[in-house]
Order: sequence, then C-alpha cells, then structure tokens
Amino acid sequence: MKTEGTFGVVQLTRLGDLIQTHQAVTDLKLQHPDVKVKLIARSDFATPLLFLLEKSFDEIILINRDELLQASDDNLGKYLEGLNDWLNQPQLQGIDVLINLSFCETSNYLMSLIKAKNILGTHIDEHNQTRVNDQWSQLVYSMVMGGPNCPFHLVDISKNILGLKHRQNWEHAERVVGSPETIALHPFASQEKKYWKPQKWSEVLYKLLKESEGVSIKIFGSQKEAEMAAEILKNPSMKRYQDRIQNLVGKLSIEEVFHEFKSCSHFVGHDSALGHLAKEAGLATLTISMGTVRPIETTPYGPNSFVLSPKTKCFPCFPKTECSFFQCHADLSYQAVTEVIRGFVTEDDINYENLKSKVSPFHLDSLSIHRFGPSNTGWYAAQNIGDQTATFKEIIRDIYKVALTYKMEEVEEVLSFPKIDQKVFDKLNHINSGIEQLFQLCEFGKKYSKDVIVEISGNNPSVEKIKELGNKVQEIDQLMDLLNNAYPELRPITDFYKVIKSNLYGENVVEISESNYLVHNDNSVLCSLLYELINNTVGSTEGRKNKQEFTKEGNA
Amino acid sequence: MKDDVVKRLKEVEEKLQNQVQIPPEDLVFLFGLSLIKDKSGEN
Repeated sequence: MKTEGTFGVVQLTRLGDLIQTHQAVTDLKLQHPDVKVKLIARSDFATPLLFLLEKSFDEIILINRDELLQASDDNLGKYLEGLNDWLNQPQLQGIDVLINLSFCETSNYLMSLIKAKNILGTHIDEHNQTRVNDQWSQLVYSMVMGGPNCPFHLVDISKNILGLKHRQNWEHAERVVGSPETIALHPFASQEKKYWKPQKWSEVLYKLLKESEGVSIKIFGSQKEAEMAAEILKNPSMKRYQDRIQNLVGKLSIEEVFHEFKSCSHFVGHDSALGHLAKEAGLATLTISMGTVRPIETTPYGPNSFVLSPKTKCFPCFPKTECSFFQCHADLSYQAVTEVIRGFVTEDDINYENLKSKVSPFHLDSLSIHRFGPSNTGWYAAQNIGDQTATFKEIIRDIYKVALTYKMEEVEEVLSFPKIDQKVFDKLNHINSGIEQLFQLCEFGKKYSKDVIVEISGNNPSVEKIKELGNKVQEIDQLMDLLNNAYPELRPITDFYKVIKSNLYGENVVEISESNYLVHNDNSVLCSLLYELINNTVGSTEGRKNKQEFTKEGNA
Repeated sequence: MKDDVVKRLKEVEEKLQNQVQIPPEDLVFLFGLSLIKDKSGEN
C-alpha cells in the first residue's frame, strides 16, 4: 500500500542517537519512499552528521541554542521571541505525524509546540504532565527509562514507533574491508564508567601487536580524548610497535572519520557514537560494554556485530549509581579481551573453542560474548557464543521478548530453551508465584471496572458505590507497587501498565472504566503468557534434570 | 535574564498548583528553559 504524507521526527539528543534515528528512517524510506521525513535536531549534534542525515531525511531543521542565547542579549523577552520565530518557521508547518524519538524533557515540550495532525511519543499536556499514547513509546517510557530489562534494540523500537513491520533491511548492508587486519579503535566513551583506563588499553594493544604480526591499528577520537590516547601510547611497552599504530585522535572531523573507517577492516571500541558510525561505514564491530551500557538496546545496528560484556552482578548500572571500584571493568581481563579481539580481527569471527584453549577459565567465566543478528521475527537479537549457562537476566529478558512480541504484534518469536542452573531454576519458580498474584490483581481490576460500568448503567446509580469501587481500583494499583517490592523482576511489566493506565482514553467515568477494564484484561493475558513461558522453561529443565543433563552449576 | 526566568517560573508554577491550564506562551518558556538546562551532549 502506498503511504504518503509528511513525518516530523524530533531527535534532540546526541550523535549516537542521531545515527540510530538515521538507521530507522533509512528503512522507513526504503519501505515507504513516498513519505517525506523532516528531522528536527540540535545543530551542535546534527551539523557534524549532515553528510549522513541528508541521505535519509528530506529536510533537516536545526535549533541552535547558543545562537538564540547570543541574540537575546541576556534578555528573556528577546530569547522567547527568538524561540517563537524559530517555532513559526514555514518548515515546521504541514506535518502530518510528529514523532518524538528522543524522550527527553526538551523534546517533550517541543512536541507540544509544533502543530501536527497526529503525535507519537512523549509530549507535555496543558497541565505540564507528560503524556504518551502509543504502545511502543509507552514501552520506551516505562521499560527503557525504568531499568535494564528492555528486550528490544532501540532502532527496532524506533521502527515500530514509525509503524514499520519489517525489520531486516539492514541485512543488505555492504560489508567493507579496507585494509585487512586493520583495526579502527575507539577506546573511549562519554562516561568514565563506560571505558577502561589507558593503562589497561596499553596492555591489550601491547599483547595484541606482539602476538599478531599482521595487525595494525588506527586510533580515533575527539580532541577531548587526545590526552588519553597519548597516555595509552606513551607506555614504554608500546614504543616497539609505534609503526603499526596511527594516532588520529582529535585530527579528523566526524565525516573524515567515517571515510577513514573505510580503510580499516574491523572496529573495536567501547559503547559510543563512533561504533554506530563504524557500522554505517560497513565495518564489523566489537563493542566492549561496561558500566551503564545496555548491549541489547544500543549495540551498533547491522550485520557482523559482536559484544563483549562482564557478568558482574550489578552490570549494567544506572548513570546515577555511585561506584568507585568498577568491578565490571576488572571482570573483563586484558588477557581474555586480547584473545577475543585477535580472533575477531584475524579470523573474522569469535570461536569459543579457540578461546577456551588459549584463555584461562578464570578469565573466560567472568565475561559474556554475544553475536548480534536477526531473530525469526526480525528483531535484532543477541546470541550467546560458547557453552555458557544463560544468566537469569538474559532468560527473563528473553521471556519478556517472546511475551511482548506476541502481545504487541501477534507474532511468535521462536527461541530455544536455555540451559539454566539450579539457582535460576528456583528464581523462575519464585517469579511465577508473583505472576499468579499479579494475574489475580488484574482480574480484580477487571471486576471493579466492570462493576462501575454496571452501576452507572443501572436505573438508580449510587455515587457512593461508584466512589467505593473507584477506591478499590486504586487499591489494586497500590497492591501492584507492593508486589514490585517482593518481585522486583516484574517491575518492567507493572511499570509498563502503570504508564498505559496513566494515559487512559476517556472523557467520562464510563469511558475511563471501559479503558481501565481493557488495560487490566490486557495485563491478565500478558500474565498468562509469561506464566506459561516460565513454566515451559522450568519444565524443559526438569526434563533435562531427569535425564542427568543438568548443567555443571546445577549439579553442584 | 536569570531574575526574569525565576520570576516567570514562579508564575507558571502558581498556575500549575492552582490546576489552571498553561497557555502556549508558558509552554514556549518551559521549552526554552529546558533547552538552556539541557546538558545531554556536553560531557
């Protein structure tokens, strides 16, 4: 079916988010070439990426805060006048669908100021409350903002918000190998939690260059990162290999970096915008994820993507979580990381059997390696490399993915049953008790919402009775909060429904009660799905247990 | 400008406390303020 119209995409956040927005919109344009797409972005982030963004967007509208402030002469009236002029520009008129893909406060306000026939994503209403009406944005607002349990990649979510059903267009992306065994290295990131100290990188590079004669390295980064790059290279052990390392940190613009990437074969780095840029340039990527990084959501989107992450209990953490020790940094040993990089660059793959023969289990057991690719339904998904037992976090995230995919798209995601140990087995059984209680609460929610409708439709409705029933519905919300304390793993689901409930459709008590009934009904169905999935996972393990095939940890 | 911002913010907050709908010009002010405060790309 031919789709026409003008989309306005608001993306006010950083370079990496802009590149991922570009990737989602590229697919939108491939599937619906007649749709016109305008990007509304901050000039400081979008300007360096114009060479890329102009390929996917028909029009790019930039807001320059510093210019607006400068022109205001420190006068609030003038500043607001400048903002009004910017908002009234003709390019911001005639938008059919306005979509917020940045989920930040500034973009929420902007969404309420640009006129559009339809709005998708978070926006602010006339009471200064954040509103979000579409299902996929509600999922971002609850699951992505609320914790690390979102089972979907952000580009996939953006595509769903944009209304795309097919998610595999990136498979046709071209793989680029400039010079073989040449690494584009970006050993930095925006936050201290997300990158190793220079000393550790010196150790990795020394070992890698010493033991792999054909490998050469180009280091990339911004001017701000030049000092750290110098520190990596000043290490005396590096002197012998200076001719195989090219330090390009702070010397190239983003566009020049993009073109220089094409002279390399593989990208290695922490989670940062350059990883996304390398994927756009066609390189195979290996991301070393630590700290706050959520690989499922932000791994460079495209073929030939690998992620190395620690199995540290608190990984991934929140940006505000205080940490001075950085256990997750220590859990990725330089010995293991070097071997993983060597396989990735010299064999163009990561072979777990090879790793086991070269790296001590002590180092290997504390990390996870994932290869990313499309699942049967086209989700960008992580596949565990090796014979490792799945962690509880991975299992519960997969279960959420299967249940949510079915609920939101009526499509079955097919995953094989994971290997689990006794601890995970017990935890899953425990969670199922929580799901039973959540199901009962939803059933009560349905009953009370229905009772309100019945009471109002009667001949002599009692206001007192309706109030009483309304209070009972509220009690259910409070009980869900208590359930969260006992079963924190259920928070993604209860938070999701809290967001849906706070955006209920309805102009009067009957309509709101009807919406409330539907939300509780939906939640009941989701609980049934989760219950069944967990039961089947546990059941499959019990079957294996009976056959003496329980994992090492399970037998211990 | 700082004093004017504080004064205007107080006015908007009063409206919100009294559950009065805020007009578009106040939303423009809140957008402008958020844009100034937004440090998302500066580290």
